[in-house]
Amino acid sequence: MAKIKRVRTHLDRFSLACRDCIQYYVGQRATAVNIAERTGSRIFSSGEAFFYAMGYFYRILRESFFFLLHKKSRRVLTFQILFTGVEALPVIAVISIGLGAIIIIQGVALLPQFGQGELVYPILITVITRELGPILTAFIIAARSGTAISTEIGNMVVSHEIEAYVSNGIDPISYLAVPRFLGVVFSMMLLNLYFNIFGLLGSFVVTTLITTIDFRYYVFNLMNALTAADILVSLAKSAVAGAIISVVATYYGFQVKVASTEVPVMAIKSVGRGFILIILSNAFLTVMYYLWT
Amino acid sequence: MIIELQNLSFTSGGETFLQDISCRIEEGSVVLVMGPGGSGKTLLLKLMAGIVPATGGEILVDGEPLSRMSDRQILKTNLRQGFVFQDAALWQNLSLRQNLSLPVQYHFPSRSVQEINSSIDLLVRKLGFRANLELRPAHLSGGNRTTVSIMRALMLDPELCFMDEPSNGLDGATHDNLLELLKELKSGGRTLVIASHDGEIASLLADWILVLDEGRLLAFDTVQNLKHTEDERVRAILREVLDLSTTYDTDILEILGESDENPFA
Amino acid sequence: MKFRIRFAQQVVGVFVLIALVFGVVVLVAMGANQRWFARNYEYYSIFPTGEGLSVGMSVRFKGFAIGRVTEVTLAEEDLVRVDFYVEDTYIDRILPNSVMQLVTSPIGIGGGLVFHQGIGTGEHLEEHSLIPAINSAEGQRIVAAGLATVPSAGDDITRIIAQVEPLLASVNTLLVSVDGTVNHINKALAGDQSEPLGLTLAQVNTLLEEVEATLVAARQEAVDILASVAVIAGNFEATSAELRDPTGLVPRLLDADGSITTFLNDNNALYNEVEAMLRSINATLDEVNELALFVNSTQPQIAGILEESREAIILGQDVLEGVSNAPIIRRGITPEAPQPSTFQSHRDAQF
Repeated sequence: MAKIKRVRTHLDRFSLACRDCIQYYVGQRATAVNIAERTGSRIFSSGEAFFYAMGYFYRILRESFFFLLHKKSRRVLTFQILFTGVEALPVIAVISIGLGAIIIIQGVALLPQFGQGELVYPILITVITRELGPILTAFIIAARSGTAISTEIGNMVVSHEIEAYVSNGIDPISYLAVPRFLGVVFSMMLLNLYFNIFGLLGSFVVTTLITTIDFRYYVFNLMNALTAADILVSLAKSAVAGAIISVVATYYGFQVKVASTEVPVMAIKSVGRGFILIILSNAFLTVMYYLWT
Repeated sequence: MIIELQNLSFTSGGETFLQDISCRIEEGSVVLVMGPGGSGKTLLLKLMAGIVPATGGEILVDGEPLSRMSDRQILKTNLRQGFVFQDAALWQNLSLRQNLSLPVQYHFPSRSVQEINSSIDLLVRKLGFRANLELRPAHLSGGNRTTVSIMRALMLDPELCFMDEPSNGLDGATHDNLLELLKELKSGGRTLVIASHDGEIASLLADWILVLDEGRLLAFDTVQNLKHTEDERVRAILREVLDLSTTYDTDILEILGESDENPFA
Repeated sequence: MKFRIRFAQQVVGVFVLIALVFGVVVLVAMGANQRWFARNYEYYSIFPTGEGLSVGMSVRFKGFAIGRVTEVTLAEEDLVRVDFYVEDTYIDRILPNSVMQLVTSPIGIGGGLVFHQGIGTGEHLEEHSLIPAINSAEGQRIVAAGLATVPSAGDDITRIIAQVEPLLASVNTLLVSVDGTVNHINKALAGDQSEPLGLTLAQVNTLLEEVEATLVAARQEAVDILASVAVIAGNFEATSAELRDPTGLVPRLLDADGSITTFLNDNNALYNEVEAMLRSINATLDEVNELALFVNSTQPQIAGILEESREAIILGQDVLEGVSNAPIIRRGITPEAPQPSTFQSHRDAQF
């Protein structure tokens, strides 16, 4: 009897061990399946997110077209240009004057030593008009207006204001996103022009306090160094950057689901993503410029 | 405007919030949506209004499925219906007057300011709204915000109006005014879908009652039929829900089929 | 309400307007500056090689840029086709029988495609037609026939070099003359000379006249680039005038008593004369040095050559002095502080 008992306990132990083993194995397999599934779903969802974002961008473009045709909420557009363009003007002015003055002063002091005094004009055009102007403006606007837009829209989602628009038959994309999109794109292009005004002319005024350059000579040389391609690529860069800033900001604003804690998270995401996309688009356009000219 | 739900369900993040709901809301009827907190009343209203897209099933508006409508068509449908949000959801960056006039201005740009203002004034008078219309929503009390939200929903004179807890936070006088207004709408042949725990609305207006519990449709029937329902759960919920509203209206007790017995006694 | 909110429309309007006005002004200024709206006339030329030719190179006429090279392609028979345009303001200069010349400068700056106008009247050359290169058969024919005005040199540096070369030749002649003179004097003083001293000195006179003539020639050639050459010649004139002076060196040497004794015992008067002469030669050489300084700023190699010449001349002067201080006089050669070169290296040169 005692023997049988012992055998039974052994068998019990064995079966327990077997069960553990099987459980472990099943668990392992489940984990493996889980990892594959999770990776797959992540790829799928990021692909889905990409197409969703593309669809969103397409809808903004389409609605922008209708917006420009109908001129419905022009007030919103005006205010967007006011907030994004006019109010960012002082920062843009200070940065561009400083940058331009540095280039002129350094250029005038340094370049003639290599017998390349005339090179200051192409450098001014390259830096102010073509390269740094658009990207610096874009950074400032992304940090200023991008965050403002995504925060504003995020808060609207949280307080159900977006749903209120939908319930009243007002499309939030055409009513909220499109004026911001157009406003930021226009503002970016206008600010780019202002960056050039301050960077090329304002900095000249600053420079005359230190060294003497003849104004007519300066303008003449500048106009000779400037090409239509410079202006086009510069405007294209700022328009693309403006589109990126506004689309990314509104996209992440709408991504807020329920809680107000999501709002700053999405604002940060919109700035980060925006910066990366701006740099990439700038690099792309610069390459295009060099291939073209 | 007829709304028909076919096996409607809504899931998000792996969690099911509404499941398998089918019903048909006839034109000109007043449907009271009831259920304990978290049962999915607000969500059901938003799904029906096309504000939130359903993840399963179908919603037919005048026989046409919502899922097959373009965004533009859905917005057009939305134009024919009003929605009162539980938290009012007023546009914070606009004054009250702008909140009320924006939908009209957006859809009917030709309408003059005087025309819009006169319809605003009419609603203000009907609801006895006293606050300054040039204020921003942030300056209002909760009750006043709800009132403005009701006014906004009615600005476009909708055929169908969804109201999510419209009587929340209203003072007595405004509450009475609201009841009058709802009665007027009902007699005008408007369809009303109201999520409310308000016994007065239930007793005075409701034609149909829709009972939700944990995302499932527990009952959808006329008030008369529900009076005699055998379903214990429905009875319990109705009792529970109406308890919360602490009303002593006898009609409600009648609905529950227990007119001879006062539950609060 | 804030000002900019109340007048949002106006503020935004001004904001947009200023930017647009600026944009338009820039476009117009750019267009005017870069001749967007002006018509260009296209021509082409054929060169044996594309070396030194590049797209964007300016086409020059009498130092003015009248157009630009638009394309350089390898055409049939391994020839190089150069397409260029001429601005409409200069189109009247493009006459038949014109030729093109590629001028390269030794230091890479200042070269270009130079247009030489054909001699002729009437209409300008038809657009898209060939303007032959100066070194092509057709170009040679035109130049040989004198149908085109081809100035001797193209760019500035080539011109300077062209003018410096005869000058250097003159200086060389001068040196040879001075050397010859010194040799004569040397021989006369040493008593090796069979001819009387007077004859020798007459010879010196002739030689110096020759020098003068050379220098006059030099002056004429160099007059464009250096006024100081006049001073060189002036010095020499002074010297030779002194030699011709009746009370001066020559008559005294021609004097019957004139002998080596006179040369040595007239209180060094004669010696002083000779020394003055040498000094004036030295001054001349300093002038040459100044010339070198000038040329130095333009062309380092020339400076080097001139520097060497100057040193050679100073050496010659030393020899002359040594001769004059011959053992008879025993004064040796005066040590002279070396004059630093005005030219250090190519790297120090400023362009």
